[in-house]
Amino acid sequence: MNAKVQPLLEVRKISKRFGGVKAVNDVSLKVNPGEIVSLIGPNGAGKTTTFNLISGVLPPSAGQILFEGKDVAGLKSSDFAGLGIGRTFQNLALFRQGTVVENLLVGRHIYFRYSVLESLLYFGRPRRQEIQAREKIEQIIEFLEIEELRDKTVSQLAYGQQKRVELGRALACEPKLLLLDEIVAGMNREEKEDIARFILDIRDEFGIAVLMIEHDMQVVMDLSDRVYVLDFGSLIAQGTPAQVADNPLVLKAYLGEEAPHA
Amino acid sequence: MLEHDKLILGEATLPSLLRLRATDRGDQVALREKVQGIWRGRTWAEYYRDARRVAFGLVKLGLKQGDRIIIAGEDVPEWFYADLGAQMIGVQVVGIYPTNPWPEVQYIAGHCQAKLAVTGDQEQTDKVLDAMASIEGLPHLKHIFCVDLKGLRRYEPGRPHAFAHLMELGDQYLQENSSADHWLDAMIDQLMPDDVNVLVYTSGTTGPPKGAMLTHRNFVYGAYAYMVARQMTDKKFESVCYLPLCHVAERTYSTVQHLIAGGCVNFAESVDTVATNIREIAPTFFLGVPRIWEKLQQGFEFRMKDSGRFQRWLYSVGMKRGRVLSDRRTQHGAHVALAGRLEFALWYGLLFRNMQRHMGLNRTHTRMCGGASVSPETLRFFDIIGLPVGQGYGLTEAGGLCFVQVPGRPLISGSCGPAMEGVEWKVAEDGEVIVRSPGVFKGYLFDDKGTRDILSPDGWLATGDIVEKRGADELAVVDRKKAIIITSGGKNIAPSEIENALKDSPFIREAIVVGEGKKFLGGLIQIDFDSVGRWAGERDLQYTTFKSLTQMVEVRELIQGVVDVVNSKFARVENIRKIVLLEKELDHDDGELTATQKVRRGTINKKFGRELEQIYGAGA
Repeated sequence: MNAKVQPLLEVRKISKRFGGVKAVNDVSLKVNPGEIVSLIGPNGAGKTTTFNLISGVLPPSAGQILFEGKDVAGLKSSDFAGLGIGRTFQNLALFRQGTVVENLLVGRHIYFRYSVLESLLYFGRPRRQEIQAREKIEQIIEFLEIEELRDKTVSQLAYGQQKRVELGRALACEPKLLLLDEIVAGMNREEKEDIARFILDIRDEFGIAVLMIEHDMQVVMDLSDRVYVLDFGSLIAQGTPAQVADNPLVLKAYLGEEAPHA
Repeated sequence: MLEHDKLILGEATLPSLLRLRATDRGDQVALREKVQGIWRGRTWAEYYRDARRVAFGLVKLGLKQGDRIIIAGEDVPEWFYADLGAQMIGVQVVGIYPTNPWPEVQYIAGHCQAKLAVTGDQEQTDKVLDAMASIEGLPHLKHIFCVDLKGLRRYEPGRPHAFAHLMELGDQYLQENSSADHWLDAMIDQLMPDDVNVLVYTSGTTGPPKGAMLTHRNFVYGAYAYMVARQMTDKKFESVCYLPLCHVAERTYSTVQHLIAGGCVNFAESVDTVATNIREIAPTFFLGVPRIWEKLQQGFEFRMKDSGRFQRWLYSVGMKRGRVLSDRRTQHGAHVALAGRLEFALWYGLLFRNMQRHMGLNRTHTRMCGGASVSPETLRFFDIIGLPVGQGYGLTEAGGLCFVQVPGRPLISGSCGPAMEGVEWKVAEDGEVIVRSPGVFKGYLFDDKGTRDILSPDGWLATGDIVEKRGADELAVVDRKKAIIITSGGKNIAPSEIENALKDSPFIREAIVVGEGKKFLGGLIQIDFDSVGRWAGERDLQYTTFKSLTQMVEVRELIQGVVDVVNSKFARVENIRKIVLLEKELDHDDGELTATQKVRRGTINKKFGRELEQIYGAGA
């Protein structure tokens, strides 16, 4: 790959300590524009903590996080959507009593720029922006093939459908980078295949780069351009899915014993 | 130009009808599609223009009269453009069910030697590519054009091209050839009603699919004679299109009836949104498969449970009285006594009108149900609220329906109604109905023997269906001739009647009666996962999968109870002595069902050997 391409996201030696525990230790990683990158590792390896650092939920104890060349390490998590980073959560983060459309519109809030007074009049700017938001939402509904769910309340939906809505909510802020936290966990095979297809399409159609934490190795191997492996808070391997799969350190981390002779 | 005398003989071609519509009502909306949540219309002029662009695109790629193309996709306006565009230059169109697995796509596209494929999306494109990559491949197929390119960006360039690119090729051709427009007009003029324009592959409950060759005449006649029978020739036409267009019914009632009647076809967003889309559109014509009618009814009853006490009371009284009134209509047809009509008007004002509006069916003048056996109670529900649903009898080889129930006639139980204008018919000694009409097809493609077997030189078509006469001029279908079971006692039994009676139970999804050459009848039964699951849930019975549900004693007893009730309605020899619950749901992909969800009888012995052994013992 061209070395001059500026990475979309560059994490330089970040660490996070909780008291005496080093949850994340000197981790560096990169996501280039249009790449699908996976972060894997056994339970408790520090994947979600790393994600929380990248998306500003937690401040790092040390290190730099550069998004499009700018250091974003000190920013509040609420600013990240505006920067162009969208994310989904391991446990669903949706308004359960709201409809699908309403939940997706929430993802658009960063684009609304009008006062309460203007919105009462609903003329000019608010009207234009609301219509624009609805158009974008409809585009996402069509993309995720959830037309029949449009006006259903989220609490009525099956788990797999809620996950799709969550993905839609993250897409609604038109991110440049999408962080997916175990999006296929708990899904059946067909639902997994659908989501895997959507992840590829998100990259291909919208040019959005994806960084995902994933336990499902099939999904990781099929989708990722590159993989980072964490164990006990440190990076132990990186490379293409095939390289990582052959790495004895990775086998050891997952199987907990000396790898057999390769 | 559209005269009754010509249309009833099928004297027209589809492209010439489209040209006429583009001239006499070019700026009216012809097709409506929901794009990003908003219904957007396209006019007759646009429909005609884009069909012409497709025609030129095909010419540019070297296709000519007599060639064939396949279209595989859900219903979208582009389906219409490709269909009519190809027909303009005499190219025959073969529709493929979106649910067909790739080996069937391979068989059909290979058999008809299609040169070009129009696909709807990635899923359909993948099937065509899989078929091309298989051992036999598709040597004749050179081009693929896909409507929705989502997910296809990383594919090899040109496999597929965008559908829009086909039309751009057409624009190029038009620029390069100044006389092209003139040439195409002459081409359309030169098409004959008896030219083959469409091939419909029959789903084939026995053996591989056969390509029925249908002509412009077949379609124009089929659509128009139906409109005459249903007294809708002078009524506004507005439909919701969602059933597979490769089937003769949706093609006739969306594409062709649309060309004859004018009006507007609305494309449902997906099969799952049909109920919502109907409410938005309020169509005047609606063709539904049983499942859709059942869904509309259940959806309403479900909502009713949440309403207030007064509303529920009104509903229960209204439906009870409505049933009495519906009985009278069934008996007397249009000649119901004044008191009955007044009472209906009262309930209409109080209840039925709002029910009709809630479902979006209040503007419908014609409603149709077909495709499979439907529970009489479902149709009764709609008749009670003033929306009688018509049924009919027909087959692909006859270009669609031959018999149809007509409005205002007393209903004879089980009858499909009288023959449509132009249909001659007779019943052979063994009870098989034989028909002749302008709708009867030209024969099967590359299968002269198959054609000779059912089509006589003077145009009589042996339908393969055993029927009974009802009333003066009506007909009721008993079963497929091939499905008739002859027991070892020599008794002829029509399994469909028994199977349909079983399937009327909400707990039974599919039933197969067996017993050919045996002492008694057995039943292979697939339970309805949803309703039996709900039933089990209400009784705190634990289950995890479909299979575990079928193995529960309680469920077996439940189904046996249904079978006992059905048995009591039939003669002793027609009783099912032993049943087996299937442990897996029948599926098109596994070759047990056809694309139209009919059980493939030919595969029963092979697929269900173990179950048959349970019924008749080993070595049976």
